[in-house]
Amino acid sequence: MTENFMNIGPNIGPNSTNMGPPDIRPENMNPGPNGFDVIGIGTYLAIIVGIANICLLIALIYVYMKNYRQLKSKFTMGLLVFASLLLLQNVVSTGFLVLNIVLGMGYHGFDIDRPQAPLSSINIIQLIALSILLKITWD
Amino acid sequence: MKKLLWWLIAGMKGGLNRAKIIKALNDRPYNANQLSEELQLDYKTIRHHIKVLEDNNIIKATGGKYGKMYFLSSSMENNYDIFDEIWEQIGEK
Repeated sequence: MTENFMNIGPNIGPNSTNMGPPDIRPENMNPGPNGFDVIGIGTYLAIIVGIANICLLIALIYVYMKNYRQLKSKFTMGLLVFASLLLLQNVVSTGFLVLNIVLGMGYHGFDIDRPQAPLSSINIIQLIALSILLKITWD
Repeated sequence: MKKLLWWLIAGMKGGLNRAKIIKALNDRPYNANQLSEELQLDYKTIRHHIKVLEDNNIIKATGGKYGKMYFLSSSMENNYDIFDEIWEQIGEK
């Protein structure tokens, strides 16, 4: 009885998952049939794109903030809120990916990796869109 | 026109300087050099803003390659009250 509790212990960390049985596969096994690399590249790409988005948004917010200080209006306020919300979204989603890596990609990594391909393609589209917006804002 | 003015002044980098140029050109035509002296801005900055404003049909140029004089386009003159509205909301400085 007590031994059982001891065995459960280590699995309640960040590596544990509440989806599916946690103890079927041995520890440190590469998750997924595609192996560790695919997951790694996908996640790192998503993080890089996310950080690029964050940088672009910070540049946009810098311009919008300056304009808002000079001209307090619905228009400048709207731009500022718009960019801030997108920044929040990118910080949260990228933060989750980073946390996932920092805390170790157990089976968890695989779980959230599945929707990652479409998600990071959204991120890439966002990167393109933000680049265009920044370019016409900076002109 | 209204949205364009808002974007050029409040949505882009350097909007305040752009507004100052429009304001100055409403009084009388200037060339780029005079504008940079009048507004105490870098000549290159002025050139850049002039190009953006010209591309967006806010101002027009007359004269040859050198000493081009700039003045407001007719569509800008017709909509000057919109600009005034924006200008009034720009705080001191």
